[in-house]
Amino acid sequence: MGAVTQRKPFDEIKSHLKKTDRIGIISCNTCVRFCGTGGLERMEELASRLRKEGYTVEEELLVTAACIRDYIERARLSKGLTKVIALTCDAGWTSIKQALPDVEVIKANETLGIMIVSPGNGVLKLMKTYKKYKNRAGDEFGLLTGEPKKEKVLDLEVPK
Amino acid sequence: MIVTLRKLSYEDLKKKLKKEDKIVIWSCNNCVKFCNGLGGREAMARLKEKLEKDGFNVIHTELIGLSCVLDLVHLRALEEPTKTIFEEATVIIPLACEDGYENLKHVFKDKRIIDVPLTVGLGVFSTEFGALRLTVPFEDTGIEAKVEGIPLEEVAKKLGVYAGPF
Repeated sequence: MGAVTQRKPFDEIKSHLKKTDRIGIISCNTCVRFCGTGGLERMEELASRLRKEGYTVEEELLVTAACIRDYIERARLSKGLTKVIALTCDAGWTSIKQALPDVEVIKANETLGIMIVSPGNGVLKLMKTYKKYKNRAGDEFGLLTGEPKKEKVLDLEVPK
Repeated sequence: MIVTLRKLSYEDLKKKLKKEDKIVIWSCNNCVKFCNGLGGREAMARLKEKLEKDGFNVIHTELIGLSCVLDLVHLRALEEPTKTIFEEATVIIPLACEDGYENLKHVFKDKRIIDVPLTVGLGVFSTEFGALRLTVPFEDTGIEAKVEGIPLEEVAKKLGVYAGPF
């Protein structure tokens, strides 16, 4: 499936924006949706919050998989966007950067590593991680919410 | 998308198999298909043909939508028609990422699961490249992240492993 992500604080995202910016939000609808960090609802929530604070969100785009660059390139986004917020994993972020080289692309999420999913148990498990999150390997999160689970339910071997 | 290479050459793989083995080739049909065709239906068929030509007994090929979904892997073990096939198997060759490999080890504890995959990070697919490129490598690969991405053949060469199908 892919990457485990966690939301960055709203204020951190805002710190990259100006009130004069013409903002686009691009959300992936695959891994980030499973992590509660992307998908239609999260995108609408972020856009609405920014608009309420006086920012101009000109475009919202939901793509099946942001790590497939063709989806971004063929979306015919508004010309003149000055910032794009990526509700994606880091691969999605690099994909948007490749597709829109002249626009500043802001990460809305942190990428922790890769996951195993168990819909029956309602959880996803962080397996192999990026260095910064090494001590979190094996952590479990609620499926679709990303809420950290106190008790682990998947008795799987986690790579060292 | 998860970027996965393989640790073994075809010759290395053969050394891990016995002529009396009952082999299942397992493939994920998602990310690994984009990894220069490491997985997917064609990669499975190609490997089956090569192994049979070399005298090995491939009893089944199993294509699964997502190997990283534990419940789907469990279903293969619990439900027919695959239940009987997997009971008979002695070894499974996974064409999947490391998550898929871990799921197989967890579900089929009494089988030998060949350690094929090396998952090296996340990447971007584009029809311009015609392939997946590594853009967000795991730090333990020693490979530097590049927005434009690195072709998998180049990553494999740097790491002394293999890209694409057996």
